[in-house]
Amino acid sequence: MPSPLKALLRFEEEIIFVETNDSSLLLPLGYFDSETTSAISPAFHWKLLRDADVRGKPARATILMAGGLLVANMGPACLAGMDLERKELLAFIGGEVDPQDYQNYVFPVLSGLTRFAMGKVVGANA
Amino acid sequence: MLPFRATVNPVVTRFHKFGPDVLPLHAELSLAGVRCLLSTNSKEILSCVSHWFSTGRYPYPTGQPVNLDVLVDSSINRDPSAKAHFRGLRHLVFATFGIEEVFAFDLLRRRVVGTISAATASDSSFWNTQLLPIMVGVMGTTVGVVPLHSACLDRDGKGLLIAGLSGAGKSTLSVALAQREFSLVSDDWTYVSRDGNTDSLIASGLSVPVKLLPDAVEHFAELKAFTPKQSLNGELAFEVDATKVFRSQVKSISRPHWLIFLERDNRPGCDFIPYDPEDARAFYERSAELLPEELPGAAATRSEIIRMVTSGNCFRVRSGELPQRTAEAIDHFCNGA
Repeated sequence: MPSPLKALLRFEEEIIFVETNDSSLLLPLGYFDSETTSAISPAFHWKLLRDADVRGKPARATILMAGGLLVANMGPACLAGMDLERKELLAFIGGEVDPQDYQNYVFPVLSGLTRFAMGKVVGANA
Repeated sequence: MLPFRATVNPVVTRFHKFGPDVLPLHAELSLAGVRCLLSTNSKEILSCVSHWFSTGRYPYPTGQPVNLDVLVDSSINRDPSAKAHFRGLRHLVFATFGIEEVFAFDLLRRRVVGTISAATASDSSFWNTQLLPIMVGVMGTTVGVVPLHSACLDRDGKGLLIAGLSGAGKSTLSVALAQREFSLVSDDWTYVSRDGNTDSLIASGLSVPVKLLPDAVEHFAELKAFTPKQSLNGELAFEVDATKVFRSQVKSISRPHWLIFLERDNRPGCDFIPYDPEDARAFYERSAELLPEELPGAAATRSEIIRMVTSGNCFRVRSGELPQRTAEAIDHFCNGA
């Protein structure tokens, strides 16, 4: 699945390089483009793929942590995996996940995975 | 620092950290040449997969194991009507079964993690006809076991691989051959690995049910007692145990000897045409899943195994005959070859 759209996202004190096939997944992120920031070395790499064929809304997330891998399952409408060692996040986001769902449900989970990978989160004792 | 759930609350309901403390039960499985180290918290899962426990039953073990970590969470609900859903890119592949049950396959670390309901944990059919075959299909290449979309039959230790486009009739022909002198190894996916460091290959099956499309009932009266059901890929099909329904002999391994590419033809007759090994190799390479670029060794091993499979007796079989007549022609051909 190609992801021709690329952008840089400022996330707390870090810069994330984002690739996607859907510009609507970039808009809520407050991104800035790579031309003006070519000297910046991103700390994380996100690949956000709009999965147009997948129906349904994201469910509340179940997070699995196993070694260097964090998985967020929100049902077929949103599946995400963060490779902690490679600092790469891959997410498949279904066609019926609208901007509100994305901001309220999906993006907080992706952010949480990234904070965890940054070492700013201690684990699952909440 | 904040705990994970607090940072994303309220959209996270569960957080499972896998480790020996939560997955205290272990077993080693042998699956078509793939050595699998299972860790879980469920005795029911161990019971369902006990058929695959390593007891020296697979004589040609490959090198690195695949780790399979499965957590059963009693708060998870099973959706029995849900179809399997797959997505993957680079080294990560996800499989969901409904909303709450999920597996993630990490090809780089040769690790599979998943969380399921108690109902799924004790569903033997789920393990033996879905999850374990899926796991071997996704992870096999990373440990030198190459899944080929081909049926496999055995006669006197010689394997007959049957390839062909979807709908060519591989499964139907396999059953027709298994009603003759052939033993059924696989009707759909065959897993091929090298026999140690030798130049010979081992072809394995996983004893999953034979899958036949609804029109197969025209050729096999035995199917009239069954009703087609939706299969894993969404197709309506009969899924039956060949040993019980057709009284077929089944073997778990063979050694590839013949390779045929089955083509349907409108004209009567059954023609055997030598097939260029390069074309045969291209067929398998085209249908192979992409591997992450970080696994060049696995890709090279796969290509070598495909080269070995396609370098022998390779034929196109164009048939306009019924499966039983095609099987008869192949039977005679193999007798003389």
